[in-house]
Order: sequence, then C-alpha cells, then structure tokens
Amino acid sequence: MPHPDAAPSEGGLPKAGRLPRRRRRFQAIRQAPLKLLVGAVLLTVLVAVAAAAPWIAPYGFEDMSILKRLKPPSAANWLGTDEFGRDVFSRMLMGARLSLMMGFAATAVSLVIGVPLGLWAGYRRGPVDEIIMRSTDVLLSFPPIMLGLLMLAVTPPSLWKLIIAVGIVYVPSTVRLTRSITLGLAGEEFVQAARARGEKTFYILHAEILPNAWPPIMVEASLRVTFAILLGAALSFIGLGAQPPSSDWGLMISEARPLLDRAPWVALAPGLAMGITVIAVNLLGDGLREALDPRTKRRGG
Amino acid sequence: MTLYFLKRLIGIVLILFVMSLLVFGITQIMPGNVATILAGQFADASTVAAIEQRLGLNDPAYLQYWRWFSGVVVGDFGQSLVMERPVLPLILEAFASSAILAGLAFVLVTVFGITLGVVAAVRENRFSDHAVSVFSYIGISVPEFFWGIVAILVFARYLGWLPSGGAGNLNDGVLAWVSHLVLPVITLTFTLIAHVSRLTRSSMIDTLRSQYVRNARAKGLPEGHVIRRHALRNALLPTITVLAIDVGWLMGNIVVVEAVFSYPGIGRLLLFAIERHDLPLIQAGILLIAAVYCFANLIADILYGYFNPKIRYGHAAS
Amino acid sequence: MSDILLEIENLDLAYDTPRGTLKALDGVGMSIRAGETVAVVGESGSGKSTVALSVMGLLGSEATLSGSIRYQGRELVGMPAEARRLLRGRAIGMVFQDPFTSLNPSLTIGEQVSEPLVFHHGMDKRAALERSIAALGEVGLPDPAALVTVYPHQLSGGMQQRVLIATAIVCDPKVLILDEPTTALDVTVEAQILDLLDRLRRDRGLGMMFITHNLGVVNRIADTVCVLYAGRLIERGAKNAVLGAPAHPYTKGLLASLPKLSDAGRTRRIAPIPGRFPDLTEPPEGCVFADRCPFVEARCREPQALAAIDDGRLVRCWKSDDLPGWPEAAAVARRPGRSRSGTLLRTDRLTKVFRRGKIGGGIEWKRKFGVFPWPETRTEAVNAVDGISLEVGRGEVVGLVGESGSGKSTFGRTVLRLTNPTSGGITLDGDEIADKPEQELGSLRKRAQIVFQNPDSSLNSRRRVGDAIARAVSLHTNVPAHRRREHCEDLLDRVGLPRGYYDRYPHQLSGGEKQRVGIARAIATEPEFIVCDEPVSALDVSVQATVLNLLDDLRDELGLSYLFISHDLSVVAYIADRIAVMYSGRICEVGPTEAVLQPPYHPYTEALLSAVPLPTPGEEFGERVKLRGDRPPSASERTGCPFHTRCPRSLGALCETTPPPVIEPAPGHRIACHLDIGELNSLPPLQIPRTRKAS
Repeated sequence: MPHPDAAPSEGGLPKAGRLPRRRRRFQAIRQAPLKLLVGAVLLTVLVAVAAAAPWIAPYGFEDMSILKRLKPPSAANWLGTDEFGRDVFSRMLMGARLSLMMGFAATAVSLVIGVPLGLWAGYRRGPVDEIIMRSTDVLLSFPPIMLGLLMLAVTPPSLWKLIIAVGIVYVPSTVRLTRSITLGLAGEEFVQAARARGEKTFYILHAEILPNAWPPIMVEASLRVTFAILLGAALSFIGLGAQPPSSDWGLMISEARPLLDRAPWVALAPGLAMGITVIAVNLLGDGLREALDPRTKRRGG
Repeated sequence: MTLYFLKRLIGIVLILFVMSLLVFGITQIMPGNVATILAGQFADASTVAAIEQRLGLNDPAYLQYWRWFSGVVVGDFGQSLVMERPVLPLILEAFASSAILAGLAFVLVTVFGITLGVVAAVRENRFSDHAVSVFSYIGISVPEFFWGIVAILVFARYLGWLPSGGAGNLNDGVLAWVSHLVLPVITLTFTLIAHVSRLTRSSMIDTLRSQYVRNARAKGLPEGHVIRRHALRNALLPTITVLAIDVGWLMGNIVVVEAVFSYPGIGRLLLFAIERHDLPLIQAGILLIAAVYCFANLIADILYGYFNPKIRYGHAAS
Repeated sequence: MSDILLEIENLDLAYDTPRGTLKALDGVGMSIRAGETVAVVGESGSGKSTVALSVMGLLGSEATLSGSIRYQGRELVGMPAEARRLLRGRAIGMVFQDPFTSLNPSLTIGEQVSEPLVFHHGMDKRAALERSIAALGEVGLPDPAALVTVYPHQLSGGMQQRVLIATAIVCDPKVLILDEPTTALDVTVEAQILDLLDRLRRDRGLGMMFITHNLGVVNRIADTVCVLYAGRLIERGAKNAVLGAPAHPYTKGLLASLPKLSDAGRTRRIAPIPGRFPDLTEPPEGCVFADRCPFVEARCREPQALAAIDDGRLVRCWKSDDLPGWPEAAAVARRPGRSRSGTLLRTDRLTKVFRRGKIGGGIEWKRKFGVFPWPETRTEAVNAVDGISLEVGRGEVVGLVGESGSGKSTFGRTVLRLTNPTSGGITLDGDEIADKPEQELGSLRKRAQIVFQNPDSSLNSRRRVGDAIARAVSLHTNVPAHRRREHCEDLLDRVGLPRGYYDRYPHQLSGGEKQRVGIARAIATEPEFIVCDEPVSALDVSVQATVLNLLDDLRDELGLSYLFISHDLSVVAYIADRIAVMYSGRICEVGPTEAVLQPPYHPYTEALLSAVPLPTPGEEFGERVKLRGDRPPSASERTGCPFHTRCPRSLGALCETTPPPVIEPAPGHRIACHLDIGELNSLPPLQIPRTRKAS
C-alpha cells in the first residue's frame, strides 16, 4: 500500500519559466507522449471492458458447474475454471468493475473530504488549521493498512464500507497536499488582488485558488487510485473487504490460494489483471506529472 | 535541535494518547456482545450477566477506558478473551517473529532502493535508468500478496527449493530457519524497493540540477566527488522521510505477507483476534504497531535534523 | 597580444526544441585581457548567461556549440571533458547570480572554499583550509578563521556572495566570470561587492567577464562593453564610447529608456523601445532588432555584419554612422510638481509587528489547545512597520524607497488592509479604516487598489485576462452586465493593449503586457488611490519605461494618487512628487523629490544615492559612502536610530540610545537624525563629474 505522502511533488507547483505555462504544457505533452498515451489508451480499454462486462463475458460470473471444476485454460474457458466450475475469465472481467470502482470511488471520497479541509486550513490558517493538521498527524501515525483494519474490524465487511475506509485512509495525505499548495497560492499576487477588490473567501477559494491547485492534486489523485486498488485488494484478500461470492480480484486470489498446486491459473489471472490496471493508471499519472512538471524541461541560458 | 527533538517527543506521546482513545473507542462499537461471545451461544442470561459483571462491561465508557489505559501504561494489556492468557507475552512473542521479517526487509530495501535510485538518477535516460524504471513499475503494480503467491508457486511448488510457509525452528539448524524467511522477506522487499528507488531517483535528479551542484562543477571538482559529496547527502534527506513512511507500509504489508506464508507473527495474530473479536488483543496489537511506526518516524526526524544543518543550528522551525 | 587570456570568436549555440532549433547565440565574439573587465550586457533572452556557460563547458548535452573559445591559446570547444574540468576553477573561476542557492546547504563554508584546492593543487585539507581562510579574508569577510565552520544559512546574502567569490578565486584563476553577481543584492551591498571585485581585479590582474543587465553597474566596473540582443553581439567597444555615444539603435534605445537621477533625466520623459522580443526559433533573416527599430529601412532586412567604426568599435548596423539620437517620446516636458489638493490618505503612527523565532532564544513552554504542554522557540517582535505617519495628497505620487526587509511592501499592504495593522490609524478621505471589520471595507476596496511586482504571479494563469477585470467592474461599478465586456475592452484600450486581449490567457502575454493587465484590473474599480508595489522591478529596462510612462499618464488622466514602492531610487525619482526613504520599518527622510535628492539629506539617503550605479560616464558620486556591515539591525539593536549599526556618521551612544529628533530644513522636508542641520547641509551633493581610473 504505497503511501502517497511520500510523493516528492508535494506542494511543488509548476513554476512558470520563461515560456508561458500553457504553451510549455502542450510542448511537454508532445514530448512525453508515450507514457501518457499508453496509459490513457490502456485505461480507456479497461473501463470499456469493465462497463461492458456483463455483456461480453462468456459466462455469468456466478454460474457454477460441478462438471467443470478446476479445468485448465481451454477454448471454452479461456482462463480455466475455479473450484466451483465458475469461468475465471468472466469473473475476472466482472472483477475489473469492482476494482476500478474501488479505486476511483475511494479516491473520490478522499478528495471530497480532503480538498475542502486542505483549502480551508491553508487559506485561513489559525486554530482551524492547527486542529485539522494535528488530526491528520494522528491519522498518519497509523500505518495505512492498520487504519483500514481498525475501521473494518468493527463491523461486518462489505464493499461500500471498504470504499469508505480506503477513502478515509487517504484523506490526511490529501489534506496535507491541498493545504501546502493552498499555502503557496494564498501568497500569490493574484489572490492578494482578489482580496484587494473585496472578494469573499469562498469565491477566492473556488475561483482563484482551486483552479490552480487542481493539476497537482489530480496528479496525486491519479496515483492514489492505484494505491486504493491495491489497498482494497489487500483488505479483501485478508477477508475484510468484498465477501464471497463477489468476484473481487483480491478475494479471488485469496480463494484460489489453497488450490495453487492444482489450479494456479485461478490465482494468476486476477493478479495479472490487477497488475495491468495498476500499470495503466500509473502510466497515466506519471505521464501527467511529467507533462505538468517544468523541471523535466529545464534549459540553461 | 533540542527544541526540535522535544517537540517530536512530546508530539509522539500526545499522538499515542489520542490513538489509544481512538483504538479503544472504535473497538467499543464492535458488534457482538463480548460476554455473549465468551459465554458461548447457548449460555443463559445469568452466566452472561456474571461475565459482564466480572469484566466491568456495565461501567461507563470512561471508567472502562481508564481501567484499560492505566493498565497499558504499566504494560498490562489485560487478558486475551479467547486464549485466556495475558496479552502482553502473546503479542511480544509474535512481534519478535515479525520484527525479524521486517528488519531484514527494511535493511534490504534501504540498501538496494537507494543504490538503484542513485544509479538511475546519475545515468538519467540511459539504459540502466530505464531498466530500474521498468523494474519499479512492475514492483509497485502488483500487490505483495500476489508476488507472495507467485514466489510460492515458483520456488516452493515447482522448484521445491524453499518451504512455502510457516516459521523455522532454530533447533532444526540455521539453514532451515533462514529458508523459511527467504520468501517472505523477498516478497516484502520487492514492492518497497520500487517505492524507495523511484523517490530517491527523483530527489537525486532535482539535486543534480540545483544551483549548488552547478557551482560545484564550476569549481572543477571531479564528477564523482560532486555526486558523492555535494549531491548525495542533500538528495538523501527526503529519502530518510520516505524510509520512515515505508516502515508504516512494511507493517501493513507484513499483515498480508504473514497471511500468505502462514508466518506466525503479529499480523496473523491480529487477524485471528479480529476474526474472534478478541478486543484486548486487537487493541494491544494495533497500538503496538502504531507505536513502532511512531518511533520509526521519530528516529527519522532526528536523523533528518542531524543531517540538515538548518535544523541542527539555530533555525528551530517546526 | 600575448596578454589576451580569453578569446571568443564566432560562437554559435543552438538548442533543439520541439518547435525547432533555437539559436541562442549567433556569431558572438570578444576577448579579455589580464586586468580588464569586459561587461556583457543584455536583457533577458539575450543569451548573455549562455556565453558564460559555454566558456565554462557547463552546457547541457542538448546544446550544440560551434566557433572558437581559446584560453591562452588553447582551444576549449571540443576539448575532452576531463581536460576542460581541470581548467574550471583553476584557470577560469565563476560566480553565479543567486548566492542563496549557489552554496551547498549541508557543507561548511570551509569545506566549500577549500575543496578546489585539494583537487586542483593536491593540497592536504589542513593547508587548503589555511589558504581558504586567507581567501575569505581577502574578500573582506570579518573573522574568516571562525567562518570556516559555519553553514551557509547562517550568513547574509552579501556574505554568501563574498564566500562564492572567495571560492572562485581560491585556486588563483586568471579569468573570473561573474553572472549577474549583484542582481539579487541590495544596492548598498551591491556597491560593496563591486568595490571588492574591482580591487581583486587590480590586485590579482584578473581578466573579468561581467554579465549584467544593469547599465549603471557596467558604467561603474567595465573597461569594455559587449551588448547582446537576441543572441547576437550588436555592439562592442570601450565603455565610455558605448555608454557615452551609443552607435547601435538598440544601445541607444536601452540608454534612452533608463530613468536617470540627474535633474534633466527626471524632468524629461523617458523613451521606451516599442515592440516585442523576436522568436529565436524563427529569427528574422536581417537585423534582429529591425522590428523594434525606429530607423528601420528595407536594407535592414538583409543579414547584418559586424562593422568597425572610427573608434575601434564594432557595430552590427549598416547605417550606424549617420543615425540621430533615439527619438524623444512626446517632446512635451513632464509637468514638474503637479499640485495636490487636500489629503487623500493618511497613516498615523502605523505599526505592524510580526513575531518570529528568536535565534538562540531558548525554549518557552506553552499550552497547546490550552491543555497540553508544548515547547516553542522564544519569539521576538519584529516591527516590520514601526510607527509610520505618512500622507498622500489627492493626485499626488509618493515614492517609498527602501531596501529588502525595510518593511515598505508590508506598509503598502497594511494601508490597504491586506494585512491588519498592529496599531495606529489609517484614514482614507477622513474615514478611519484601520480597525473596521473586513465586511465594512467595501468603500476602501473600491477606492484603493494595488498593482503588483511579479507579472507571472499577479494574474491567475487559469483565467482569461478579461475575467479579472470584469470581476472588478461588476463588484464595484454600476456598468450594466450587457455593457461590461465593452467596458473592459475600453480599459484594455486605455492601458495600451488590443481589445482582443480580453479572451487571452496570461501565458499568451509578455511580462510588460501582463503588467498592463494588472494596471487595467486596478483601475477597473475606478479607484482614487493605487499602491504600486515595485510595479516595474521584474521587467526588462526597455519594457519598464513603457509601464512607467503608462502609470504617469493614467495619473493625469484619471486624477489618481499613487503610493509608489520601489527599491530603485532612479525609478522613484522619475515618477514621484515626494519621496519617503524607509529603513528598518521607519521613515528616515521624507520630502519633495528635489529636496530629498540634494543635501541636506539623511545619512542613509546619502548612502543610497551614492550606491546607485549611474549609467552615464562621468556622472559619479564624489566619494562613495561606505556602510558598515550588510544587514539591518536585529530586534535588540533597534534602539535609538535604527540606522546606527551601519551609519558611517554615527555619533555613538546618542544614536544608539535616543530616537532621533525630526529636523525640518524646509517646509514638508523632514529628516530624522541626530546630526544638526549644518552637518547635514555639508554632506556631499550627488553629481560631481570626476575622472575615474584611466585603465
């Protein structure tokens, strides 16, 4: 479960160099297209597949068949079957839905809670800032999985609880990132100018600061999607997330573990699928970061 | 420096205190009456009431907390409900096994992660850089439990070189003991190396582009010296923080990896406790892991302060 | 010609960019002799720093270099990297612009100065350290032996720059390259560093390449001047010739667009260079300056060669022989001393106190959230603004001059309630606004506006240029919504921008254009008073002139009052009716511009004036005032007169303990100083023509 706080870009706003910012960005995108392009294409395909899963899956993901237990990959069952005779390929496709939803929904949760808190803390400072920051200190002092464990241990597991829990795990780091960006932006002259013409705090936050804070927040968020997918899978794997007969990838791997000797494909298929998903999102996030980061395009003179 | 240290020390005490509140609070809202669980499904009401009386479950929450907390301060975490033994020795024994795993993995991560990151940065955009980059992509893209399973499949099942799980007994010889550690440690190391090397690389690249490195080159110093003396030290400052964060990550991963390899450590104990609703065990386990993480951060902060003259001398900024 | 140390010929440099090849340098040539200072002058984008990096061999791998750079006859272009490295530091030393980032934060000064000795001369560490201490002493640092164990962040900017100079000369190189070495420093510190460099050049017979954008600095230090524009060398010659009688139109324009401190310079309107810098990925075939040149003809569109003219100068202009002077913009002389009618803004003992950690102050126990014990550094009060009473009349421009950290920007922002004052009063048109709650400041927000320093940061890069202006219009004026866009376009028109700029984003604008948008935004609320916070400091000289003239015009047309804040005395003297000189949070002198620039003046004003590098040869301050040290007083030293720690005319105990009385040599001219009026009167006046070193 990668910890997003370690990202080196925290608070690092793209600084305007001699070239206008926007033009730099277009250039940069033209220069570093590969990661971004591959990531975007891969992810689009994955999302499409996940969305169409019920229609393109050759079998229902819960259809059992005693006759077809633990069959190796074949023309009929591309990735073989599991111990209940369910088609691994179909289940994997359905799992893509859960995994992507897990990643994006949990990230959305962390953004919805974290970004406003960060904006508020960074702009208003004072006691509110102090309380928010000390709370994130406490939350960050739990290793990420422990916080999830703690939240999930107390109630019967279910997918939506898993999403909320994973989202909350990443709230403190979202708050910190947003706050540090806001701190920097609040001193910028265009924010001072907005204050000088008597704008309300709400307007300054959403119209002046937020549009400039989005790019770095989104870069971090895109990487956090992968953390959320991995953390969600891990929690499902140890039995605190999705419950059988769900086709969550983490759960599938967990269920396939006793059968490793006889049917390794049941465990390998979801693992590889997860790898591809995470790589796609990572490529996209890294591509974005490089494209937005003027440091990668520095020149002397 | 004194102030810097003091602030962090006090901060940790406070954080641990708040944590104990949080852990206790959350475990209180766990479903299922503890007394019912203890007494068994078919026990009559009077037995349950007796147990409740014995454990003080009818007292107000703050009183229960105080009882628990005052015990914790002196090292008494109470009795495990399920195993009916004191929690502390149970936890410590499991923790010791886990510490071996985590410690070994941490050393490997530090050494290899930093080396790979520095090599990649110095040879930016050349073959070795790309190789490290691909390696780390693979490392962070698949969850550690999957690597664990692949490792079991390859090294235990097909090749049969190593045991697939459990812990070795030192009485069976050092080799047997070590052989049980190899797969879990490799699994733990693999995902973290990627993390550390990526961040070390980016921080090293930033440093190599800094004004003071350019100035050092303008002095005509050999490139090797510029890298070692001028760049490395500043570039590794953020890595210290990253490593501390990775300790937290390691403690999380260890839960999963112990589950995969059936390794008798604190992670498995914790999962067992959660399954059985063994409150004192859950509370002690999570608190202990959080405390270890806190102290790892404290050590990192101290190292950071020590290697950063701005903190060591004068500027006692938060 | 054996004393030529460094010779550059036909230097070309190209970068590959996604938009095509960028020609950063094209046919640059110069030579540097022992004991000679060659200034390389140009605005941003001229390629002047690139020349330095080419000589040092520190360009990135994406640069393609051709031509010739010879050090004592040895060709450097194409030399193996290792041989090149051995020359760096030992034969050619270099000092970079920003002292704050050029020293390694985690190594001691001693190590950083001495390590080149270890590698170049194979000295052992102990001997190297000893040599370093000597070098640190040579660059005028006090107590060099104690300095070697210190880390960079413990030194002031001026001291850090001295350390960098010591590092560059410690291996006794013959050539020293300085890339804007004083740009990041205050003018009084700049003067100290320039003196130091001049002394080093004489003592050591160094050949110096001095890169700068500041023609005043050139005049003070250079023997020979190379003027660069868009990567081309356009004029080269002896300093007095180039600055005294510029031959190339660009050089003429550059000099004409500088505000000057002399009486004549202040009353005559400065003449800007129109137009924009050319795109170097598609450089024009002919003269690179043709598009901005008032003398342009058809032949200028053909490639231009460097041609020698009478006095041995080289000029890249075919008709430099018979060019008139740079055309005077609007021959109308500026109306001196426009009258003010009544007071618009008044501050009364305005004070702003910040608290900051006291170094070595020990630990103080506080309560966090009122409960937990929590250690904090003992803090000390910093009076950023320390009881300032100042008036701005209706229609008047008051200039506020001071060095970094003097509190001038804080004062400007406090006046507008962008930060809240600690104590004291602010009245706008009789209305007390110092302690009104934010919700009741509507009238202030309409009537008082601000123009900022940094063109990149003053506009929101994610919003259209028109949006910020329209927002101000809708908040504070009665312009109906359907007329708003037209109204904003009128405002753009007014600040000299095309109406179509309404839909542009800031990145599509040049620095000067952004600054104009900032001005349009400020006048959009139809204010009476504008705080101009260093509005031209981030701009190139030629652009600075256009913005200054715009502000000057708007003031007349709209009847505005300005509080014009700047560190640059020449700029303030050009635009302001009255000047207030600020030091360490206090005003030490205030009065009409002419009065402040002449004795009697405050010793600090005298020091500032004498430190300003003047661009005209022969125009020199009699004797430069030498200030002690280079930092403002610490909190504990701020007793009596805050200037006493550096004042060369300090009377000792009196100045250290008693706040100075205010003398009023003439109505409206006030000086806070213990010296009596006779002494202040006898301070040397600004311009005494004087022949400088004859080398």
